[in-house]
Amino acid sequence: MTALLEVRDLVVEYPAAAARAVDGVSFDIERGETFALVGESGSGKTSLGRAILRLVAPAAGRVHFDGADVLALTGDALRQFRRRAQVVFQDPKASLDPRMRVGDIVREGIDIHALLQRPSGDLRVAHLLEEVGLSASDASRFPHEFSGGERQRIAIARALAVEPEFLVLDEAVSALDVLVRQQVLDLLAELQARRALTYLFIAHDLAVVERIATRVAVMHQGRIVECAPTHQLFSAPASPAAQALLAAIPRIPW
Amino acid sequence: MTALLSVERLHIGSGGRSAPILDDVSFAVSDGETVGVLGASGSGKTSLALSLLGLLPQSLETRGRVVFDGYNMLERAAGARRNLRGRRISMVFQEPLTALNPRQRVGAQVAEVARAHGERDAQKAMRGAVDMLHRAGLTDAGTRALRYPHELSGGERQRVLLAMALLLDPALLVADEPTSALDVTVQAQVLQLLRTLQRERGMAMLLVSHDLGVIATTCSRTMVLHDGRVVEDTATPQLLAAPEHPQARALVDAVRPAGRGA
Repeated sequence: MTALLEVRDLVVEYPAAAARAVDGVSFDIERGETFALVGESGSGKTSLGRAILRLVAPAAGRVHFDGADVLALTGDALRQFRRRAQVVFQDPKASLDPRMRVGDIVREGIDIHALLQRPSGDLRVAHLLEEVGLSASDASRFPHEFSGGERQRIAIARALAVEPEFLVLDEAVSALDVLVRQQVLDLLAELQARRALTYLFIAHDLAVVERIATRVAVMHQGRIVECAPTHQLFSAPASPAAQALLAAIPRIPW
Repeated sequence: MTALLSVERLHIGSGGRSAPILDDVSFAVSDGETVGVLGASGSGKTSLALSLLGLLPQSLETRGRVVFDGYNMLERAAGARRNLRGRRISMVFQEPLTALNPRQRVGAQVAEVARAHGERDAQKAMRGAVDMLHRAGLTDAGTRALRYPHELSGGERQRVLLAMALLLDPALLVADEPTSALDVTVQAQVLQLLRTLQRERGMAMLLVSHDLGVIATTCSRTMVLHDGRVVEDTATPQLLAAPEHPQARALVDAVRPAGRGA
């Protein structure tokens, strides 16, 4: 079986910056796994996530998704990729249009990709809202009427609306308090099992990824300095960057 | 042991339309004691912290007493309260960028605390500010003191806030989610700094957080706040071992490693 996503020697540069944001990164993500990318602020994790989705253009390297060269995609093929690979951002306050009703936010992707006509589209939206733990009647409300955790559920419903296979979760639970965070992580695990989703889970906090990730890659100054199965990284971190992230987790004296 | 701070039946209404923000909250903090306030979003933690310094809007209906240094913070004249704030009781906020003046160099902002409390010698105030920034772990404090807030990282800005709060050696520091906006590695450094400064000075500390990890590694006692009420107030090891209230249990279980049953 080939990997769903293959990244090779990827480089991201920003004109004003002295150093490369992403400096020659390679890894594979297998179908159905949760691949975590962790590192401090400025280590390049968000740039890497965006380059994979072609939200920023890499300066060099290759990205293959389901065998296709993502950086060479155009037209219909690119649109198909944009449907199959979705993203959930950290701050749902900023990523949801405050002037759109929740139902319209969730169904926008369905319309853009012309997946369903109006009545069945509405039904899909109702089902999606229920699937993420909201109610169908929430479709007529606005984002500001929801709590942070609920807004993140809306963002997840929006991402799922176009039946993606791959989700980039960029600090998707970092802004939530611990109880809500746990609920959203549980929801993500449940959706992954039901829909056979593959996750790229980006976080600065190693503690968050321990329960959800199958493998963890540690980024430092634009490079992946360590990549290991989750239990192995937690029990025997090899790189100084991974050791520092582990040491930073408050050690509760149970 | 005398109580440094004593909160008695504090009630803060929200205008009658919904449940009160704080409902019959009572507790005391002794000299040098470290107390955590643990609660989910919306539990009333920040309102509690603000009320201790008399920083809540006057328009809110408030009953009860907040006695600090023998005076009721809710009743004292604004001038007298200002005299206590910064000198005897200080606060550090979650978001250091919004808590700092974007148009003033950080050293001057720290020095202003001394000036506001009667230091007439501007140069002496600035020297004290740089020294405190250094002790708050800001590297190259002399140069950094001349920077504006936006030129510093989040962790550095939080060190500036700490320097402002601790400059006049307060008896009580109220820290509201002081590390929630920071990277985990920076959070660990700032928490370590807080613990060190607290111990060195024998200062009492009220640490507000939704994160049990932050509180359990810093505070000897923990109060759990839920819907504006204190539902549990106990020694931290006791809370970790046997949380009683369902909300306390939920907050503990959310971070408890698998296989460590209560």
